[in-house]
Amino acid sequence: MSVFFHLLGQGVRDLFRAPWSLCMTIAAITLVSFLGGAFLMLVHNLDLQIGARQGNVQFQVYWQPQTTTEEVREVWAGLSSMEGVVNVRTFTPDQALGVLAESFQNSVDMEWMKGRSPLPPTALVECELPAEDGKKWAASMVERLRALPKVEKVSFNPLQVDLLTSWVGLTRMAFWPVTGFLLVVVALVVGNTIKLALLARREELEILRFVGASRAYIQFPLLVGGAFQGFLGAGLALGLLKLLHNGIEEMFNVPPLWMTISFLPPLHCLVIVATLAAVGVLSSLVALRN
Amino acid sequence: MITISKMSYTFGKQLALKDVNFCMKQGEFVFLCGPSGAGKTTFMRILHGALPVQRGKVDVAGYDLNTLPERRKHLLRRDVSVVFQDFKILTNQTVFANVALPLKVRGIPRHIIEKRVRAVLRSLHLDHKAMSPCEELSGGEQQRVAVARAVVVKPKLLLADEPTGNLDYELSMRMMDIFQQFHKFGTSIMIATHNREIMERMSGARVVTLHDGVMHEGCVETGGGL
Repeated sequence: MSVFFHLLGQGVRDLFRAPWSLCMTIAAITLVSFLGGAFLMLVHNLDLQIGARQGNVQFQVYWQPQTTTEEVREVWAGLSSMEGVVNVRTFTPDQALGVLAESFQNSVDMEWMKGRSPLPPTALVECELPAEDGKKWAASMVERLRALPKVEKVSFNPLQVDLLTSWVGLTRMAFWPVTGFLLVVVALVVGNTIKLALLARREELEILRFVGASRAYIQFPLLVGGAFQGFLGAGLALGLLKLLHNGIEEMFNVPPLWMTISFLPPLHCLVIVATLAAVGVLSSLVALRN
Repeated sequence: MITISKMSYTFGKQLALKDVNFCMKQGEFVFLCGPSGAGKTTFMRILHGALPVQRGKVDVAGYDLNTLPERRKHLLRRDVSVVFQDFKILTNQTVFANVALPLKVRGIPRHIIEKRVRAVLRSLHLDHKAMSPCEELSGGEQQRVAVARAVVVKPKLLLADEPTGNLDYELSMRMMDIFQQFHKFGTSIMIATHNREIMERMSGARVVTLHDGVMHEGCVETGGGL
């Protein structure tokens, strides 16, 4: 057991014998993993959006500007009970003003308009689209919403769903080729580093062989080195990805998208780290065999 | 200890060893002589598993080298130690680390390694240099480190390729004394050498000669190295 831990430590220590080579390799793995992780995050968020909106259609209902909040609240209370409605978000004129200010990233001062907002009360009504004759049903829903007291305008965009579905189809089609390509790049980078390490330490490894070191004794530290490089690269890439996520998390949470970008779930992060460590081991193994 | 029958070896079209038949008993002391290029190093490298058996049958320390797979050759090398002509020591590491290496790869506990390495270094008058990096040592000292590393594991068979090549007379004789000591403890030893003086020192030892890849029993005048 002590030999095992000794070799484990040896594998990591040996990498630091060529610190520049290690830095370059880690940088390359981090960059490739970051690109792969960003792609995964895109797919993950599109999946979330499609999951939340697939088969649903959103209607935006605008009331006449002079409608009072009391009048409109009565109507809003009844919206959820309408047939096919799954979610309702309402905005008083002041709330709508707040959202508008947010969409300008609060760079425009709208505080002075509070209490006398020119915007009308609005509601975002999300409905489940029936499997058959969706367009006809949507048109009838528009009529029903228009018939509500003091409603001025109703709009909806069924294309939104079609667009999302197309995006997800495209990313799913590209998922394996892109992932495969990125993994091959990582494998080549790690494999070449191990090959260079083998060349630099050829004499030392030859001596180890001649004094009776088993194949496992010689190869295990190199495999540990490969795994460590993959692990470290993946860890750094996830750290960078988290920084990117913090920057763009709320970027699309504005009308009409209302999208909060989610970070990769812990399981995905674990899979990325484990996959890169495994690729590191495999490419080291191939380098050793060659 | 060693049984060889009709072993031949070629490098491309160049014949290095031709139909060699050789037998060495457990505990025997053999000098392998011959001029440069006679095939001594090739012969030793085959015995150590560094070169494959191309033709003939070779059995060393109970291992059939014709069938021994690469992944099990470390077992042969744990029973057969070699002192190389070019030392093959890790020059960037200390004397102690070099001598301890074969014990470390066998997973021997640290306190035993410490004891055995110190004892061997003392017998080779290298104890005061234990913590010196090998690159700071003279050629003769490096050669003694190579010998220390080979004997520290108490091998069944010790192969030494020109082990006194870089040593003066006095150190050569001391080195032979060390080989003799290990021989007394039952280690079989084969030494490839040009040095007549050390052969004369070991008067009872068997001598075989390689000349143009052919092995002869006894010391044969070749007009070359001997």
